Amino acid sequence: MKKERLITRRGAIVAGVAAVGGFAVARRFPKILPPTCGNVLRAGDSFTYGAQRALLGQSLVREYAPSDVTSFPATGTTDPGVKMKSELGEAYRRMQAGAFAEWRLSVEGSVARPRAFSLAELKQFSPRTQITRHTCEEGWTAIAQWTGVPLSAVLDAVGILPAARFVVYSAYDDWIDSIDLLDALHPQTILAYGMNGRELPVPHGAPVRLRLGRHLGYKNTKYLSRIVVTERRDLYRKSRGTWYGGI
Amino acid sequence: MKIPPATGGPQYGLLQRCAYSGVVFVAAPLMILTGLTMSPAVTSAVPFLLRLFGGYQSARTIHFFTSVVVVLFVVAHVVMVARSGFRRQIRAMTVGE
Repeated sequence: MKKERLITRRGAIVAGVAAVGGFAVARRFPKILPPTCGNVLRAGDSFTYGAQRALLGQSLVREYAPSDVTSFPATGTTDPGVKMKSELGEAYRRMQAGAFAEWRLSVEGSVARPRAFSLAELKQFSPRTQITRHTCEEGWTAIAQWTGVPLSAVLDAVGILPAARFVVYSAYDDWIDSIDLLDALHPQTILAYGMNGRELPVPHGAPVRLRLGRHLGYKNTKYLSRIVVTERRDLYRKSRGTWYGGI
Repeated sequence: MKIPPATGGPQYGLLQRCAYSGVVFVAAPLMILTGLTMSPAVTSAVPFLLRLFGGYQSARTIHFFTSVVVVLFVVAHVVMVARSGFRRQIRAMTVGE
């Protein structure tokens, strides 16, 4: 009887071509696919990102009733003025003493009219209030009401250029992260200055934090200082964790 | 690629049938669906998942209990492989014969 081979020549050729093809695709789109930060397992982020972008489209997350609002733990940095020993911490303390009247959100990069917005200027945009769920990567969830200006309205005001692809945002606790334009222009992506009907408290990111409906909690950066619209994601994020968790 | 017909081993018992169909048709789909329910991005597109499992946290609980069941299933079968001639079974599963 003829012996069956486990690995046939044809199988080996097909697998080899597929591997080279996959490698070529990854090389061709290094600025589009999520960064792996030198971690091979992070290549799974590319799969999640590609699959979700291909299949999910632009849909809204569920919005809850006021009676669904829960207690909300403040994690990570709860006061940059205390935590940060650098100039950032000092600048934050100074602004906090002046009720954030001196705070400015610089919006720059691939935009037609770069500009720095004060808190009062952000409040002049028509606000959006949403009661949404915050999903922490640690597993807990909390529901709060957020009031702010849609990021898309601010980006419209400065006029993003056609080549723009990503929005990089940095904060007073020295955090940097980024999202693609589909997330940036999502209607529930807001620069929140109000929480549960009051001014955003310092432990939750005063004066302004980002709220993203479809991302895990860690992408919802607090204490925003600067927004840079970019064509290349060179400054994608400061830490080495997942850029697009997708869960 | 030719796949030889099954060689007709002993029939599966009732418990084996329950265990195998339970893992393939209940546990595996349940883990996939509850896993997807833990994604805010997926449930924004498919909100039905949140209704199906009664919200994020209950989906998470079901996900972890089901994963325990699957881990126990795997551990039991690895133990059975080891007890029924480890080298012979591993050889049969990998290089054949």
